[in-house]
Amino acid sequence: MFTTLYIHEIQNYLYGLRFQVSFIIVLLVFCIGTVSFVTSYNEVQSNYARVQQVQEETVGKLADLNVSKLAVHRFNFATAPRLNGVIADCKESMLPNSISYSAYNVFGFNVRSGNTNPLIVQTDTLSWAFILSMFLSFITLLFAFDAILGEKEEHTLALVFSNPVPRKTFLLSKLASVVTVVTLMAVMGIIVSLFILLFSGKVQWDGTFLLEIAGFIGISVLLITVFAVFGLLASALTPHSNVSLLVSLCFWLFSAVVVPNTAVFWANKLFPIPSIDDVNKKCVEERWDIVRNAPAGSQSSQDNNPFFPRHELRANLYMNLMLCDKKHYDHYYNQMFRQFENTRLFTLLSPIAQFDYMNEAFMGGGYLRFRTNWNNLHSFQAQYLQWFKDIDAKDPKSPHWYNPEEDYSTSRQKVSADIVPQYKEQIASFGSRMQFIGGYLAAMVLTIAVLFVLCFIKFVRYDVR
Amino acid sequence: MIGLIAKKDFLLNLLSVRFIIGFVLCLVVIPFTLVVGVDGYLNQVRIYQVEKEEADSRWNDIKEYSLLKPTIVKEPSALSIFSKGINDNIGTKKTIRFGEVPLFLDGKAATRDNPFLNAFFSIDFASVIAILISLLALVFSYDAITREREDGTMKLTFTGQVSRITFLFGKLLGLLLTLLPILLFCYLLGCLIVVLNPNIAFSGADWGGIALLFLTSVIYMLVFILLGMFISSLTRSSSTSIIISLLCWIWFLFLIPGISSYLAQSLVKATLYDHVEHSMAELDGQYQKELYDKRIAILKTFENPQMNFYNFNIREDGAMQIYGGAQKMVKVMQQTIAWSEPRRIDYADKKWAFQKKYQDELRHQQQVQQYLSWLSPSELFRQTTWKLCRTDADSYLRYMETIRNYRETFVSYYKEKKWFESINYFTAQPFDAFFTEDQMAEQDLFNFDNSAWQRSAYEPFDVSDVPRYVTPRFPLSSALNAALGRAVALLALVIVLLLATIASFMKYDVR
Repeated sequence: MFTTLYIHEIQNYLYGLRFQVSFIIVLLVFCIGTVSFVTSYNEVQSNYARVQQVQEETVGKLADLNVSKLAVHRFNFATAPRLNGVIADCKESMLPNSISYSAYNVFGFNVRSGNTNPLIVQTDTLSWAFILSMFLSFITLLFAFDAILGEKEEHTLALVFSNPVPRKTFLLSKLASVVTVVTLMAVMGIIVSLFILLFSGKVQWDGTFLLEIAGFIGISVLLITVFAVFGLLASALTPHSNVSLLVSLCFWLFSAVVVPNTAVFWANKLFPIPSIDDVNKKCVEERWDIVRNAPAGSQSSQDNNPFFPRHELRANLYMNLMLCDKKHYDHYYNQMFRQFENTRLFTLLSPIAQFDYMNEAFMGGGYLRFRTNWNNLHSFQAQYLQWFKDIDAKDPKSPHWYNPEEDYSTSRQKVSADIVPQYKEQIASFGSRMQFIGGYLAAMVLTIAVLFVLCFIKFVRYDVR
Repeated sequence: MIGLIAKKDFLLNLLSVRFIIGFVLCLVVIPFTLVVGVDGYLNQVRIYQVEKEEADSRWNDIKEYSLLKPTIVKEPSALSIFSKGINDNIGTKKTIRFGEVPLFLDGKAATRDNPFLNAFFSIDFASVIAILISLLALVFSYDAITREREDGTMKLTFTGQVSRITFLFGKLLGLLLTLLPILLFCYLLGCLIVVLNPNIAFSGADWGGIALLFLTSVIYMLVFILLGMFISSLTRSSSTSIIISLLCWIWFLFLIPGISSYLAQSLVKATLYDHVEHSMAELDGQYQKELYDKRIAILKTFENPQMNFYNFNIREDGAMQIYGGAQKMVKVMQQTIAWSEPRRIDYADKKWAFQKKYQDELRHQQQVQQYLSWLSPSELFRQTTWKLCRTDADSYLRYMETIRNYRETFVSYYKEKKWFESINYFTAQPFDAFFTEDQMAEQDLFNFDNSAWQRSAYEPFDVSDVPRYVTPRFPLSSALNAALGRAVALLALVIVLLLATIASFMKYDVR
């Protein structure tokens, strides 16, 4: 019985106007999005390569001068463009995407400017995830809002139930057909997009990418299900299809517009953090204290004599200053992370946010990617420092007074650029990606379950006349 | 007759569930958006005050000309509460330097201390109006014609004396009567929130701006009412009409903005600022080389004296403080600076060529984005509100132009006063208080205790004569002029849609 209903529903949808119009729009948007991605991806790639090259040249130059100069130099690690950015961009161009570090410390992060045009109001990129979250979620509601009411208004609902059709089967077939039809549109869009990627020849295909696509489709089906269930619920709750439509639209506005767009406000109200000016001020004050209380002669230097006794004082002073900065800023960064994470938890109210975070986790991008790099860079920095200290320890010309800013009192040997440890970003394994997904997945499944149970309870007692 | 139909429709709509839902939606979302907007604005004001104070205090304790670096802090505009345009992308302040022509503002963009929050966009009053009013307009107008046909009342209407035009205008008026109060209510609520907040002062021009915003919103609402009616007149059933209307809605409101900016940024290439900075750094290198040669030449004319100072402090952009040392050295410095500073300004102009090119590319990209987004009336509406609130890209570029002009004035003031040639450029100490040749031979420079060599011994110089930056005040008429083109385009759209609706309704099968 389910199959009959299901096939009948799908046929109904496929021949309908809304399918045809939305299908054209979906294909169009997928095409535009992919073409734009393809045209800019190469440039972004080559620019990134250039940045990397400059960095390598710097390493070479400094290694050729002396190892201490290399150790104190502040390098910037910038995240590489991701091929799966076409699936979900995860707002990487707007989030902090560059981390500065030396052998002594991981200093901080910033958003690489120059990637975006400040004269244009920022919007989401047209990735697959955007099309799913903003357009197909909406289409799903358009398909589902009159699933029950439409039949009731055309008086076919009573006819259906005059046959031996259980209500559960009817409801499930409705749900399954909406989800199938919208998923079909998404999959067609994805196929077109893949064709464009294929013909552009700019894309490397590998198992990972295909697995990511499969995962994305899976996550998308969940998103579509949430909206389909909500549409059915609205349809079961309300007396007229235009009221059902309005309720559905309100839900969509809430998920797609209200929750994400008010997150900054809630972040500042619910999880406030001190302003950066206050942190700077405190830090400057403490730095002044350190400078004032440093023993006399702490700032003297003699260029040709590493063992000049005041160099030890100087090294201590600079080390204390760096530790002072580190203390204040690391604390502040942690506050930032917490604020952002809490805000994300808050936005989980919206299924679209749940969808976005799941994608982020699965593609290994966005904030989670940043955090992984941030943590990994800290362990890298410890190794890097150890490497430097090992070289320094072997140098009889060095007094081993570690100064995080200058090369006065540590080894001034040359090193070969090849042996300098360099940080390489590791692509997250699927195991670790799945680890992040758990919570979001649970949230989404819970949303679906609650909505479906509500819908079912309501529909069991639904007056079909 | 038009009045009668309008009245009937108005009353019918007033009692409908959609009116209640729409009204409640506005009632919840609008005040909330404004509270968020006001909150953001007050935060901007707080930052402005802190930065302004800092800039002013720096202006007052200057003892050497080279340390005078005016900082211009952008005053937040109260109208940005209503429509913030590109405000979130731009910085807050700019320090005038001789070595660089100001391109864009520095400082933290928007009001966000936490850069991670960039992951969330925030929405302003004008965008909410654009979203909600268009949605409501469509939800009310999609069945204006089809519903009457489905209910069979249309046949009845046309059996009497009513002409189709009358019927259409009656419908239009009825919808306008229903929706105008909601729009008006949104604006009144907005104004109320602004008036009740003691920290926000609106000028007369600002109120004028709001009135114009309201007018634009009415035109915008008309566009969508007519769009709904047009679609309704083309279709046979309400369910088809609503689906098409809503697909149009999501296309205009949510897809076009994304498409236009993404497409513009990938079609029109702009150099990355990294590359611009690279070219600028190369010029800086050239300048450093010239400076080095020049210094060698000057030192040679003074028979290569030793460069020793009691207190020598050099900071960014040529700011320096020199106290104590030999008179000969002061002359070396004086000659060097008299050459180097004007040269640095020339180099800034050369660097500006690269920056200007970059700016033009960005501007071009932004224009293409705008043209693409004209496919959507809601983008046209939002652009109009940016123009009216002066938060659009052009206003920003114009503002930067005034800062550049100020820098020119500032530079020419220095040149006119011959400050680059004066020793006061780097010291407040009188020339006589520096050591002569004989003194240099007799005394040890670093163990010499002379109060005249302490910077604290001198008073700050009088800066009252130095030109200050005056924030330009643009009259309301200039904003109106800027916005007029787009507003007229919206109006033209209204007329086109009206004619199209009439034409299509004339042929409508009422059975």
